Amino acid sequence: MTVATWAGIGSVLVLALLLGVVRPRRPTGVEQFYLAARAVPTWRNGAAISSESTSAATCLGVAGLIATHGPQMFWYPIGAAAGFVVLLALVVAPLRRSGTFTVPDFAQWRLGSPALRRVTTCLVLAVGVVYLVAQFHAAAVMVGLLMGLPAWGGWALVAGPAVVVALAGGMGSVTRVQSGQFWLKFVLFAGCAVVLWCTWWIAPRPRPYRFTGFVAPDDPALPGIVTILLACALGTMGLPQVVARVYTAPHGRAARRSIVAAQVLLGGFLLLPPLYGILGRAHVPPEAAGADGIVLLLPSVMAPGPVGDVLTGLLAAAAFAAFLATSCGVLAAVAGAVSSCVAAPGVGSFRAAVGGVTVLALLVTAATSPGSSVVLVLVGFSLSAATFCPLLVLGIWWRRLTDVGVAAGFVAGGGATVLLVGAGAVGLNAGLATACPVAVAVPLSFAVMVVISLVTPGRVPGDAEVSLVRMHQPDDRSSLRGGRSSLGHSPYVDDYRPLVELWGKRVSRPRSRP
Amino acid sequence: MSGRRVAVERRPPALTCCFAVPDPDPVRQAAATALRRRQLRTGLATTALVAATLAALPALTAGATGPWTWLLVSAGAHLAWIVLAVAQVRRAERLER
Repeated sequence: MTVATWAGIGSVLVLALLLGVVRPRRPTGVEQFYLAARAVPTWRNGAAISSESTSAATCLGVAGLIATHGPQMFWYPIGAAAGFVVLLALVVAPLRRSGTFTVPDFAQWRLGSPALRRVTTCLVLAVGVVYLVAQFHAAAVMVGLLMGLPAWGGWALVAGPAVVVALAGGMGSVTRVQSGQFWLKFVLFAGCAVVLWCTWWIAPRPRPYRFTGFVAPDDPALPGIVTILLACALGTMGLPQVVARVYTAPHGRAARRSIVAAQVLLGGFLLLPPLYGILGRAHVPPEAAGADGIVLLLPSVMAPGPVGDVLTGLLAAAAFAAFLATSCGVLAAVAGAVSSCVAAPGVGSFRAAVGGVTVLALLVTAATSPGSSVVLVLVGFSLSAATFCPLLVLGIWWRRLTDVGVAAGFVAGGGATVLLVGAGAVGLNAGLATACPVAVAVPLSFAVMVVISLVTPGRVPGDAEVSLVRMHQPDDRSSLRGGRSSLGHSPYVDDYRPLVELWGKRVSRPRSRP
Repeated sequence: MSGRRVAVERRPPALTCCFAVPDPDPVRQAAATALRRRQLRTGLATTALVAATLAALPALTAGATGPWTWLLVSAGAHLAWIVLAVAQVRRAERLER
């Protein structure tokens, strides 16, 4: 089994390096490095978005939770996929047309506050680190279970190649790795699922270990289920690494179609974890492994011998591809936000930020104990839903939003999330609030942003209407030539034609930021 | 420099981020605002449909006792998201023609 696992992981590593490092052309500019030159084709972008979203939590964690906790866990992937529809309906095209290149950049461009940009960058860093820690811990579980390696071996196997790919070509390399590995994951997970289900049907069927528990949820649990669905949906639409992919599309229309492509691909992929969850519930006792390990143990339990070893190796390769693709994407998105906040955007600062973010994530990983990857990812979802989701929705659609209102919403929503997650971690039970902090934090964040914005009308940017017009004009009248950063030192091309057309007069050049 | 302080009648304008604000043509501004409202209505309608589907899903599985029902509900939900996403894109692109 160890040989097959090493072979599977080695193959994924070689493929990632071929796709990400041995590239057809070197990145020549900052925009190419940060945003893959904003020229990623629709289906490739869709595959990359899907790859970003099918992390360790999806591939191993959800299946493991279905196996251990029953059918309630079916809701997680359904809710996460719903988030893309909301993202598509309210955010994608306007955000791309804003011409900014990260969520913090959008915050500063829309609301004119460098301080808000710094706060948003800190939140992006927090969500990104939580996501990376989930990947590293899941990798440690996998290498410990299948290869007998210590935990740091798993961290190094994921962090090392992810850093190499992100350093080599920035978002362009990451996009190629993610889109390539999405298809690899899809084929391997689907193929192994078919073989395992055929094994179960064709081979002399032992009495299943446990095939009960798929009962209807009790009525009192229904509000909780709906809340979990909403948490997954709103969390998905605010995730920085998902939003970053919107910026890599050539224009708003392509960005929309990329999300539809991702929706189609995810619809196929997300049917697989429940298939594994049902198999795991039937064949693997929950005490045999943690939630993240059940999928990896299935082949050896259901088909002991060489066939089981080969299937285990293939599943390990698919899981490793999931860790690597998600880690690359998170690293590129977070490094882009951090580097453009603390220094002038550039290849050097991007690479330095990749290194810094990786070291921080490894330190947090070492300081925390491995739990379920789904729990960690849900914390990231909750934080993202309570902060970025209101910022994006109100920033895109409501002219009267102010920087003070957003900052207050961040404090209220983010603070409530941290407090409730902390209370849940130490065993305090406040019902739905601690079980699903999003139920409290998201409405609170929206309400605080609206109320504080209304009481600070003097902080409404003078060009708010112009910003909104720019975001909502169709592509043929809006900028098609690329992005524009709010930073005075941005190297990006400015395009003021749409505003000139719209207002019928020339608009002054932007002034440099202090 | 005089040490005398004077009361400021109006606070200074908020820090704007990039553009000096031009005087808009009222007709074009009205057209832009109308387009934005139509886009918002379309987006909110799709969001409401997503919320309604999310709320209805647990009720749909109220009688589910086996894994196959859950798999079917899961597949149906993903299909619904795809249909809603395609419909949203078509409506949005039609609005912007």
